[in-house]
Amino acid sequence: MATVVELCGVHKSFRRRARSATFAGLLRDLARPRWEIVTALNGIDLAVEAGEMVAYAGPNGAGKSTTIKLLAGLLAPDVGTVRSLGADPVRDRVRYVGKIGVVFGQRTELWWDHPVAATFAWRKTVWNIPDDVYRRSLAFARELLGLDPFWSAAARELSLGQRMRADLALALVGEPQILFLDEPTIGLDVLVKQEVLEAIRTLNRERAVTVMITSHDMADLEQLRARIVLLKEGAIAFDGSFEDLRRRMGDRRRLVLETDSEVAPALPGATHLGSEGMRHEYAFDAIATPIPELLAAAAVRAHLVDVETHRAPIEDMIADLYRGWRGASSGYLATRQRGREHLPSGSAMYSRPRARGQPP
Amino acid sequence: MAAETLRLFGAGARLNVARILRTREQAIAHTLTDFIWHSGAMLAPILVAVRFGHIGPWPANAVVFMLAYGAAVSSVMDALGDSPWHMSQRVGRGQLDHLLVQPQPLWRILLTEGFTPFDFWPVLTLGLVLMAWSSARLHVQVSPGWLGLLGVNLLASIVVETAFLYAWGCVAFWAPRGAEEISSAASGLVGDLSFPLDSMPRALQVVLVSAVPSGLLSWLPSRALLQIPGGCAMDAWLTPLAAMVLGAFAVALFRLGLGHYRHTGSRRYTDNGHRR
Amino acid sequence: MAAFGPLSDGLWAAFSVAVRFVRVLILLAIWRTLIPPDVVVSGYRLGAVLTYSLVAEVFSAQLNVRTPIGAALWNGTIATRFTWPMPLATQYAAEMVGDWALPMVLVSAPLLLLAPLLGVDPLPASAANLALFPVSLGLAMAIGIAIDMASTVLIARIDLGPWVLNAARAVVHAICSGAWVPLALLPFHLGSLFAWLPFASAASAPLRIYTGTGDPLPLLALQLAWVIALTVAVRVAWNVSREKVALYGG
Repeated sequence: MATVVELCGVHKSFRRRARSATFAGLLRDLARPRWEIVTALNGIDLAVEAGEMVAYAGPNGAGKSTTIKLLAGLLAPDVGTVRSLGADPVRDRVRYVGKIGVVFGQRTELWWDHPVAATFAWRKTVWNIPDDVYRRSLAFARELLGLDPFWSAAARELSLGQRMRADLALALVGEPQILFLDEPTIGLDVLVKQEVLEAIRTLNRERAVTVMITSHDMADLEQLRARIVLLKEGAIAFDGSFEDLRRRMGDRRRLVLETDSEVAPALPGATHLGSEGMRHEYAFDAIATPIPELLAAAAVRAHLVDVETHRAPIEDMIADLYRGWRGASSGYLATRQRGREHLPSGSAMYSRPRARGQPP
Repeated sequence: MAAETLRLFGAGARLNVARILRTREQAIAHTLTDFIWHSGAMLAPILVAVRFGHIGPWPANAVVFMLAYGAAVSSVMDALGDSPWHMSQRVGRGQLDHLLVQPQPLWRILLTEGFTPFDFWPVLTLGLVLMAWSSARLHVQVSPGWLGLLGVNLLASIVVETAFLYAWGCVAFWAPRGAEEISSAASGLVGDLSFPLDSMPRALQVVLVSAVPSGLLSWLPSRALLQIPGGCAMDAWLTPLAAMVLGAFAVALFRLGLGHYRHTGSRRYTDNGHRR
Repeated sequence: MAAFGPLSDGLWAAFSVAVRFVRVLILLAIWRTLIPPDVVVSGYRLGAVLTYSLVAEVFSAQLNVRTPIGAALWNGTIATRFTWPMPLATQYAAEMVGDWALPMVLVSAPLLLLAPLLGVDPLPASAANLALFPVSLGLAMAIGIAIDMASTVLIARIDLGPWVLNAARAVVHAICSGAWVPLALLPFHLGSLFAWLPFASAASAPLRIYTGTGDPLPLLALQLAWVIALTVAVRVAWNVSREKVALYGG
């Protein structure tokens, strides 16, 4: 499978002015400005193959948006090389950006005063999209993202969800080979988010569009069944599948017991998270405390009416991970048994991307 | 290249027509208020010239010609869209990224995005009509050569103003917040000084035809074309010369700024004014 | 917050306002060309006109009030302001006053101090004129805010981009307010006509009081009348159009 995106040894830093909040400090800063260096990317090596769906995640300031900007041709790396579709995104910008689609979640490309349709017509002209390609890709995008109800509305009359769908559709006309999506679901309600994610999945599945998506919403990214690249302080901390990530962080689960009492039974190897009437929820690690063992302990301690187990939300796992990176440890992390490896930082965890078609 | 640029101008023109025609009130309001704005900008100096009969060596009709020339330049500048007027806002607000994701050379995008020819044709017409009227009243010998000189100077004045605004707008590459409004300040400086400058101190005159080239947007070319006393034969070519020098400087500065932007990006973003 | 924001990138913001100095120099030179020193033109001596022009620039923001409400309307951020526990006019007036701080420090104050070097007498005509000037300036600002709010309502009602109406306001201000050219110096007795309009009360009136080129009491009375009339009219228009204003911009 062809490699379409390649970052080699990429470093990127920014100089940021340090600013005081007091008046005296402001005057001091005017006379003697202070600068801080912020490292956004610290030696990134990443390869993406054609048709892959890559979820690019990390805490705030990890370097996600910076990577997208490097790949969109908006920024040049300080050190290292960035190649995409065989081109240098900055040097070959004009030729290159015609083959990609870029959506920044908090920015719109729509013309404010004009109907959505007019922006698409404008895009066709500026991107010089052939008529047949335009017709085909527009029909596909309109159906996929349900644009018809607001096709004639001015951009400033649209809700956030509608604007997001229109922006995503705009990126699709011209049939881009790669789609870069920076926080495309930010601020969207549950239903619209589902629709957008489904559209992205369809694109990748049916049209083999390579997709690189960043988001804070780990549940969204897990839904995409994407390869996940986790950034920590500008470096890749993990690269693999969500299944792999879950396995490495332990088999975290939730157990919900419905009993005949409002008092939650204490279970060895499980942490009681909370109760609602006679329903009691617990968190546990299924490797450290196998489910049969836990259920047996529960049966002894309470009269069980109903039992439910499911995987812990990925958000909780990632939050624990981020917390660990920041140096704090949660009560839940403390329940893990010895021998479990922590996710190391840096590129040491980077593994070759799985080939397309391999199971996650 | 020209065909591609014209195609993009066409896209802008279509959006312009659509916006104007969106509501009846808006169409009328657009045309009327633009006309008021530009004609009003000429009105204050004309009223002063009429009141006093002259401004320095400029008779009232010559002042009208000068202001009409400035209006013609200004109307073409306005039709070319927001880029020169709002360069610093675009850069300072992180809106340059919207241009960089387009598969067109940046110069073409800056030239054509926001092209609004139908907003400003009344003012251009007013400017041309007043130039014709006033030059007739002044008994100017209108020959093909004179018209050619007028055309060259008009184009040069447009280039001078564009280059000046871009050059100052480039400051926002290095100071995106502090210099965000510098384009507005610069455009106010060159736009608000539509008066004959003959009576200014020499040093100020030199400044106003060089570092702050407001004198090149109407005063100096008009003085040369109308042969107002106090000028010299070379005046007719000073504006075109300045256009070449200032244009080259602005291009160089923009390239430098863009290179800096490529490495620093924009840490702030607001869509205020973007495609609105 | 509004005052210190532009300084966050150093002194470039100061440069932006400093270009006003050049504009003042040019205006002063033009008047010196047109009005000989010992001649009175329509009640104005050269000295009074120079002082008039200088003070007009010193208080240019106060004589041509623009609240941030226009831009907020266009951006759609005005809707969120309705959730603040403060009248809208108060919010934007406060923000506007913050915006004035830097230009006052960097341009207005130095202009007044440097006036003697520019050959301009910055002092008012008399102590009485000085005492009445702040009153007149306050009334002028109130009229300016009312005009700005009326423009906001008009923009929302006929669904215009703010800049369209603002452009028209700019020229009306330039010609009819007397901020650029003292109204008495306009030809065809236009000045006598414009003097009755609210724009003149928003700019020319305080300047005439300062320079002693107008009778203060009638000027103040007319300003007060316009404040009352415009406040009532704008309140009514605002109440009728509140929903449109909140929804404008999405």
